[in-house]
Amino acid sequence: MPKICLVLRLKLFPIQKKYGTVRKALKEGYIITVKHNFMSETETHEDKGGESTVYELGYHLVPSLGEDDLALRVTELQKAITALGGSVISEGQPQSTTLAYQMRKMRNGRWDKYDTALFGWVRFEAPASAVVELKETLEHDEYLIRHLLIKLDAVALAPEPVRAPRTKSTEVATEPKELEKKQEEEEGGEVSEEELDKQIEQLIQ
Amino acid sequence: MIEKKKEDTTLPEVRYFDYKDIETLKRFLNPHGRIVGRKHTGLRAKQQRDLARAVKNARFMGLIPYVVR
Repeated sequence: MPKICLVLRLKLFPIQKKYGTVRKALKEGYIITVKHNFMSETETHEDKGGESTVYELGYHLVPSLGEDDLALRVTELQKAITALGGSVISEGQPQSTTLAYQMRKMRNGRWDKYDTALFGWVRFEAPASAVVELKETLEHDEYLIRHLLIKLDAVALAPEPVRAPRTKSTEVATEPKELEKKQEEEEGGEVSEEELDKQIEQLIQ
Repeated sequence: MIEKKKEDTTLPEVRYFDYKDIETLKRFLNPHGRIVGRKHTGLRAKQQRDLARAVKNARFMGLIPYVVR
């Protein structure tokens, strides 16, 4: 049975230096793959610009907006997102909140001060290029007091896990693992040393 | 004498720190609105970093005060 894949990056660790560990890993039955060109991997990572990621936009709207105006502002925000190639996943309707501290915004040539605001949020999926443009439009929005655009990771998007109740005694849980380990060690010992040397030589080539 | 660290029993079960979820964040703030250290929160290093990020975002959005006097 193949176990975890051990990836060696030759640029970082020349295989000769790691001879001991490679040998040990082979003995324990790991499958080893060698990446000769580590730099090419980072290049492919940068190419991901076209793919879309999930973002969350939180915003404070001016509290003086009426109900109709408020709905209009929200739909306009959604339009701005969809127009740039994004798609709305979920949203929280703006609700009146008291701010923890006074905020101010330049409107019509003077600073307007706000103690309350309408706080709402939108979760959406969009390509990275669209987000840059979206930021630009948000900054020039008259009715937005403040906004926050964050990228959401996999943890944030994953549904809340349902957990099984904990077992009271931990001893039962640990025993089988230890047994497995012992068995693995015994199995690993069967590989002859000549074979190991051959495998390592193949890896270097 | 070296005391053995308590495991898991004291860890608060927060998977993702959302800056909008003020009630959860407030559990990790002291009465002055400062972020409580790892020693007292009992969080893992990554969780503590996520917490700090969330608190700072919440402060910026005016949901939590920067300072309480």
